[in-house]
Amino acid sequence: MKKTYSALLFCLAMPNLLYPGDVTGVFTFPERKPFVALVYFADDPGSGPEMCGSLDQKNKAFSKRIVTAKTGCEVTFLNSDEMQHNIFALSSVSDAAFDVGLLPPGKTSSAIVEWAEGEVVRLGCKIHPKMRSYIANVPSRYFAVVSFEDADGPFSFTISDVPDELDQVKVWFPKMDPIELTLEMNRDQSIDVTRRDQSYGTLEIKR
Amino acid sequence: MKDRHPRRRWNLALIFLPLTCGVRLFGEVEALSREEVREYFSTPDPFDIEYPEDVEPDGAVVSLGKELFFDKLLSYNETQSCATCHNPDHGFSDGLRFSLGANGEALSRNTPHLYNLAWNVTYFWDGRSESLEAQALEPIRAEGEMNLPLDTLLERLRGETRYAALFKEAFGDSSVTLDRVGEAIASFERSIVVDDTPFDRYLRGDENAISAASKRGMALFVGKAACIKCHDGPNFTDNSYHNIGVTLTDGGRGSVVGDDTLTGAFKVPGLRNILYSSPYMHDGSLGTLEEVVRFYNQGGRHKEVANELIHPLKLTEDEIRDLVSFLGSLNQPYLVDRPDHRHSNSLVNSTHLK
Repeated sequence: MKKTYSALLFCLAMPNLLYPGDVTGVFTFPERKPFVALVYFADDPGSGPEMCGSLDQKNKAFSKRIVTAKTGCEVTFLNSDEMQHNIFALSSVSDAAFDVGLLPPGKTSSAIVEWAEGEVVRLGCKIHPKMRSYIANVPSRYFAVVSFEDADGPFSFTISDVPDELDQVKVWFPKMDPIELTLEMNRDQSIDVTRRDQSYGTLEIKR
Repeated sequence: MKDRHPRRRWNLALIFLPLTCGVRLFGEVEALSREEVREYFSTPDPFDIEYPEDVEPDGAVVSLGKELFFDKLLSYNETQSCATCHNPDHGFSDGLRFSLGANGEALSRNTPHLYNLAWNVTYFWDGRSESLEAQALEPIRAEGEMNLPLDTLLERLRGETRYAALFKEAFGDSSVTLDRVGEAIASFERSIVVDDTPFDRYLRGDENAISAASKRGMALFVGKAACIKCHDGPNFTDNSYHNIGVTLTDGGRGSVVGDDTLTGAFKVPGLRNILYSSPYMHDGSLGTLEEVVRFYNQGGRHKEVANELIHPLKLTEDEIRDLVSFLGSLNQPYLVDRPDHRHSNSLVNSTHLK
């Protein structure tokens, strides 16, 4: 009896490393890493983020490397920096030619997401051309943003409570080839991250 | 008036003199701690270079670019090469306020240096080129500069047997294209790297690599003078565009991006080896680094157009000298062996000028 209780307590105390419905993954890049990766399930039926994304600017950098939104969303831009910025869409995506214009310190502005679903638009600053971020028109509740900042990795992520019927995962990176993958239950899957068919790293993913 | 207490005055002097000296010797400007130095400054890292296609160029491509860079065939009347204005012996500039084009007419902006462009993102004073490859061809064809139509450039290079060999070595076949010319020149320019200055040796731990004045200047650069608001990062530039109140007559970045708020804004230049590329500012109107520091100290020249970052700094004379000293610690003589074109180029060949 005592053993049974101990086993039960042990099970309760142990953190559940992989919840049912969780999708976990890890990126590994031996040398050059991409700027950011967006991992998402594209077939989420009709749902999207309840709130449209917002993006701040501080220390001459955007606060996020990518924000997700859906068509019609008004993405808000804040300037918490001590200097002016001037945001615009630096993109070849049609219907994405917005220009927020000059944004003094402490001010906010916004832009409407009017471009095609699945497309990602790069943002730039006319004053500070090294600043960059992305807005992805990806209306999915099930996504993860992986920022490859500073550390050498590995870079892991978890997307929680993914319904079983969703099994088509997509990965978008700037400059890298996009990935599309059918996930299988309880199976480690590994795929090369490539650019023009040349391997730069690996994604290992499991549900 | 006769001094009624000469001894007391001397006593006061004896008290204040050491205090004053102490302020200077130990610095009224507190030196940065090692942690602060590491927070604000670094040496450029080759890993951070974003090569086109993420591929570092082959040495043969760099060598070809160097040949092209120094070749006067690239100007209409064969009197000028890229190196005429970007002269390595003058800090990859030419010492002139305004360089002279192939026809002898002065250009409208000062020639910028080429150090550490590998880490840059936009090119020209107004950033109108978004790649070094595209930028490299522009002065060649510009009428006021080298004045050589690009189809004539291709004809000339294709007519030189030595280039057939160089292009083959660089690219695998001898085909001469504009893309390859731009790539080669850009690749050579990206190889012009300054990363071992006295300042870099100081960063690596050599306390004696730079003077006490330079260390005080470094603290001013970060603090009171606030230079680092734009001249930050390993190359002392954030590659941004600002109207700092130099002139009223040049649209600068505003004309390129079609935005009135950026009228008169120009690119923040990197400061590595800046000592060698005088005169300064986009219009070459300041002859020395001391003049540049004084310019900022007074809050720019045309305050009515300068942006919010420009305001009087209230630097003392000593502080001005300390800042100049710091700028002097960012230099590393950079020597280039020039290709010998004496026997390979035809001099003002009539067929070239047709």
